[in-house]
Amino acid sequence: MPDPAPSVELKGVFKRFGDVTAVDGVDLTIRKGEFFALLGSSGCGKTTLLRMIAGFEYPDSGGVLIQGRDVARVPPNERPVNMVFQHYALFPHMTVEDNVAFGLRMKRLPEAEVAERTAEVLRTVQLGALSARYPHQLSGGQQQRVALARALVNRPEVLLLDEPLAALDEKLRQEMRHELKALQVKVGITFVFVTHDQEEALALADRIAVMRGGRIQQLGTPIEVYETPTSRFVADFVGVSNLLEGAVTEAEPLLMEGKGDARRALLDVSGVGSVAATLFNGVKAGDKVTLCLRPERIHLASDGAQAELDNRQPGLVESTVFLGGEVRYRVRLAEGRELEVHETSSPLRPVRRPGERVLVQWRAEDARAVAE
Amino acid sequence: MRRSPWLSAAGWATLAFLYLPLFVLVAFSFNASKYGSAWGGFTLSWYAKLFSDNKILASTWNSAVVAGISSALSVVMGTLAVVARGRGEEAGGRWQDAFFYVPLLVPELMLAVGFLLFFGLIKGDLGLLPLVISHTTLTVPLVWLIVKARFEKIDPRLEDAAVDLGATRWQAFLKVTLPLLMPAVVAGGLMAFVTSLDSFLISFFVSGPSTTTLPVQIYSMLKFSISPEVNALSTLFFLASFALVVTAWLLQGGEDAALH
Amino acid sequence: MSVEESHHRRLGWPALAWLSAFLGVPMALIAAVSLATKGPYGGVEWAFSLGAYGRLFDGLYIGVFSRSLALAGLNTLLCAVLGFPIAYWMARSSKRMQGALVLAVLIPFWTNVLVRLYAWMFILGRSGPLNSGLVSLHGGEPAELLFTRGAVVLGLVYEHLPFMILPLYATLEKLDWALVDAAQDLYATPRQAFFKITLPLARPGLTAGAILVFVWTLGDFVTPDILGGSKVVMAGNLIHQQYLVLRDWPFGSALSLGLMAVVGAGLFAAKRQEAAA
Repeated sequence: MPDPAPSVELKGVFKRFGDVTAVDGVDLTIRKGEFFALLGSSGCGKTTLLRMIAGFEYPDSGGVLIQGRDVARVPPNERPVNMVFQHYALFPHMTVEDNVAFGLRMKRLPEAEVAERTAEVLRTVQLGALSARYPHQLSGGQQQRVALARALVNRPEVLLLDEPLAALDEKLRQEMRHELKALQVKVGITFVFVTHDQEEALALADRIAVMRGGRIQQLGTPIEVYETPTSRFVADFVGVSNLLEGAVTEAEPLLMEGKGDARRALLDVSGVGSVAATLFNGVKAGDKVTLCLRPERIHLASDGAQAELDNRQPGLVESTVFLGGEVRYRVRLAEGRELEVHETSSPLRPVRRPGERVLVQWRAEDARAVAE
Repeated sequence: MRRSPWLSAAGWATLAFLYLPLFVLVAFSFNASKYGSAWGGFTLSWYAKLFSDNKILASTWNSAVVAGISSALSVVMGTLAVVARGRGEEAGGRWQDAFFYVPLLVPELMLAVGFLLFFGLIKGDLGLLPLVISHTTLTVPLVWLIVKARFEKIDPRLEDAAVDLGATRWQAFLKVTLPLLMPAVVAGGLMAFVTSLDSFLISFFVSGPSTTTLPVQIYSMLKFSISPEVNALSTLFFLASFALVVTAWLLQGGEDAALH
Repeated sequence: MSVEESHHRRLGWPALAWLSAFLGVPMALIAAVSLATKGPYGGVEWAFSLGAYGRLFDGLYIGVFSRSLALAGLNTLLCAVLGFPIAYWMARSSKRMQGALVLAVLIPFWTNVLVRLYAWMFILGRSGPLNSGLVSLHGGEPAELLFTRGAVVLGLVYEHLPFMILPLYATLEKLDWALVDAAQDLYATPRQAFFKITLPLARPGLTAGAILVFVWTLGDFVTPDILGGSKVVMAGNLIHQQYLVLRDWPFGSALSLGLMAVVGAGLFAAKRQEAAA
């Protein structure tokens, strides 16, 4: 399949506010029809980037291209993009219908067409019955759908979403993830959203750009970002990781299909001892590295059981938290280091008690070392 | 101290202290007896007398004209200043704010004296102009304060959303910000009107024999010729302020719910 | 800020120009006139003189100023004592009730000063309802209630009480009452909780109210004029007299600036106290 045409291209974009560099040289191509996430903590530049695509900020230098046209200095009302604002920014003095029709009326479309398209999009988001209500008469989830409808009715080239689910409570948020994903597939429009919630980015996006200090730290699919973080920051920010400092004692190429330059290595990790791990991006013997070990990739066996995996260590359960579907442990290794371990709960697997001696083990390919 | 019956007794007593004199005033404006507090039966004659007193009618007219013009001027200037200032907290904005806060902090007597000198040194008959100018100076900051309070409650993303949906900045202001601002603009206008109507100190120092305002007229009646007519006049004056203040209050509170 | 927001900056110019002209020039004039000489028939002669300031330190005027300060202080204290319970009561009422109560306090506040003072003048007068009541109960001559220092104090409190209640209420309304509960949970008696928790937390409102009452009392001349007859002279009456009766503008201006200096010093002291707390 050929690469689809780009929907949004950012070329060497810089933006400063006074002394603060908000966006520090970003190059990024977002494909047509893609569900794209800008992920980072507050102040990382993700919102500024989104506002530059929308046209609320102009870059100090660099290009912003939408469908191949440079719009870096085009005001928001002349760009083929629409936005779902944080907290939705629904006009409080207008009904749902008038909110949704706003953009079409600004374009001076005939009133018959406005009515038809408004009704159609309200059906799409299942709000047809509420079109005469005012925003403050709606629940949070309904307000969210009005905000979506108000943007989508204009059939934008790109839909921008600023923390789209942040204002909803946990249960509704889970539901809206599915709805949003289904909606995006249905309308086939490029979605670009900003979030500080790594789980949301993993759940929704086709690709994620993890941002920090105005730059993109890593760009990839959710699986790539989660499984093969290329930096300590990404490993720490996306998901939960045990991060252990160590040095490479020996490294050899590892021939694994589709794993690029991955190599098998032995590391000396303080508080753990010698660890078999997988190395990325040109780390050599003698280099200092950070070992990332996901808690769900560590397995516990009863003391004295047969070891099955590459790495094994005796340990002592320090604390146990039972969460229903999952059990979380803090386990101290013989060398002194404490690890976070998550196991799926199952009637076939015992819940370990604090003070219990266990065998802690993990695979070499689940232990990933990145340069510090 | 919480929920103690003494507390609510103290609260109601203080309210009684605030209102009792005004009620006494209203009640005795219907008293037929000319002197003191002996009740001489119900009458509306003091009101009838008011409406045939040329001095009172002239000063009422003056007050209404001055209050009308100065509240209109201050609504326009105050609202524009709020919109122009925007939401920024940068030094320029703060510096502008000082202009509006100063008149609210300076004792009214100082303003009165300043205007006396200002208009005293410009010789010649300026008619109601000195009153309009001085009252507007007093009411611009008031309108500014009321409109600004509401402006700051309006989510700036609303205007961004309108622009994102194809409106120009100007259209976004007209379609979104202005309608949301409107209750405060009207409330600001009403409060400006009341303030101008109420203003005694400044009017007293600035007005001339032919430009007496209602409060100045009441003052001279209190000093020189008390009669139950004053009760009637005060009652009407009280009711007018009451109506304006309650309306402004309802306007300011009413739509707040819609802004979350 | 957005790219286009700077475009409508100049919409603010009319208001700024208006205030600069009609606030700045009159204030500057007060300063200028205070340094000039009184004309032969009142008004001003533009000859530089510090004479007006010299007269400020006359014992007579210092006396009036210090009595005004004392009266303003007394009024502030009385307003605080009377205002606190009602503000507290308002803050602890239901939300619906709070709105109504704020309006109830605002209405007298926005009623014309002369109307309010006249009400008291009428009530306290020799043949007013209060005196008729007293006479019919106890007999004898009507008491001299009006045109006394007491009447002036009563009028000042009546007039300025809302200035204290509203800021106090605004502060108390935002107070987290769980703190008071926490204090009582930690063995404080209600009285101790009030003095250790509520009162210190209400301080910003108390300070704001005190500043307003103090400043406005010092600038008042109508209350002593109406309720005090000519027996109680405050700084405001002095200024009024110099301008409108004696037509000594330079001295009136010097007095005004003196008053302003006293007010400024008061504000400064309150600000420093607040910063220290």
